[in-house]
Amino acid sequence: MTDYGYRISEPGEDVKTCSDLKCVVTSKYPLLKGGLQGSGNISDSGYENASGTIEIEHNLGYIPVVRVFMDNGDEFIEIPHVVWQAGFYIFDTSYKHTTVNKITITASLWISGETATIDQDYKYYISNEKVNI
Amino acid sequence: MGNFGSAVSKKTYDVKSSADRFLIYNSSFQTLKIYKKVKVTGTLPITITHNLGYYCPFEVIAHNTPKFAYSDPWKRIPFSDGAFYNSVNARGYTDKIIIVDGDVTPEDSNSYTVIIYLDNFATVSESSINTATTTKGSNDDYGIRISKDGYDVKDCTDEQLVLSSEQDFGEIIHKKGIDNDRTGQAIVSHNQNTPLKFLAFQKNTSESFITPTVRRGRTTLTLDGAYIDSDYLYMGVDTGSGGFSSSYDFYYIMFKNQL
Repeated sequence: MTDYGYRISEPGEDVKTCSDLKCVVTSKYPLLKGGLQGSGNISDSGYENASGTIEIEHNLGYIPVVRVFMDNGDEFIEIPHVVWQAGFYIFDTSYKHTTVNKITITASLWISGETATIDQDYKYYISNEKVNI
Repeated sequence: MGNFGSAVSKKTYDVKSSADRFLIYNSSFQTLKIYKKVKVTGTLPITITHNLGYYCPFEVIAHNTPKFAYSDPWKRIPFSDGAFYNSVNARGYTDKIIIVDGDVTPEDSNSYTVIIYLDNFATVSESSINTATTTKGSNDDYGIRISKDGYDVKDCTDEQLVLSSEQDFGEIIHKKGIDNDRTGQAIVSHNQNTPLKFLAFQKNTSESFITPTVRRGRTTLTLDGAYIDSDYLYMGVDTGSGGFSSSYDFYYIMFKNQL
């Protein structure tokens, strides 16, 4: 099954003889391609040990590779992430959990002395690549 | 070398005039290719050999209970005693990936999916980008499909394809490289005026492995971990309470995909 396929080389590389690493595309190695993407908002009560959770249904029937980024104003940081800052007593943790039909995103942000509800924006990208093999 | 090549646009975008971010691939830009995907089970540490001979990007996804629930490999441990502990982590060497245990009690036997990419971190400078047409057309009865080895391209599922113009995003590399020997935060420009998807790894200069750069520990809010804004990718390892006690190399890939 190796004497056929499709190769596109990078500029300046001979597609007939270059290494796989110098190919933009080769049918030998798949690309991590996307299927679903979107954005939303998680609300956290702001109290210690509280957290906000949101579920996103994908219903692919298998567990896909998923990437989720939290939007902290103008900055984006991928989850999972955990922050604990001495002195300011800030504990911020976000993580995701994926099944064959949905993603669950959990975010918690607690700032000592503050109890205001905190809204956290996020963006998610669901690949068609399976995790469960 | 610019007047030939190959490009595939996303479904409904005109391949001749669409902006680069609406392309599945373009032979002018590198892509991220999956070299190996394996499932491993056992008690940590677990070693997965790749023998590529260079540091490569990778991802580790934990299979937690209940069955068919998968989550991030780094577990969060509350700071009941005022400290934070790392848990499961992964180290990438030039010939293998090792999933390692953290600071606390040993993990139970577990399963992990490890995705190893073929690509390295050789420098790719940001190039001028085509920001032409960004509007969709209407004709969707055309396109390209390339299947994985052993699958019929005419009727296989999307997951069995190497690429398809029906896929909504590909991982086209905008800029990559290594920022060496930083004792503070590494700041890398991307000049796209919008946040981009990225991968970031760190390597303590006294060590021989890379590990994903995530924000996870005692830190200030601005200097630890990897994050991106409209102008720069920021990477740092704050090993103390707001200080940098070690020198690190940062390995990064930024994609054309906008966040």
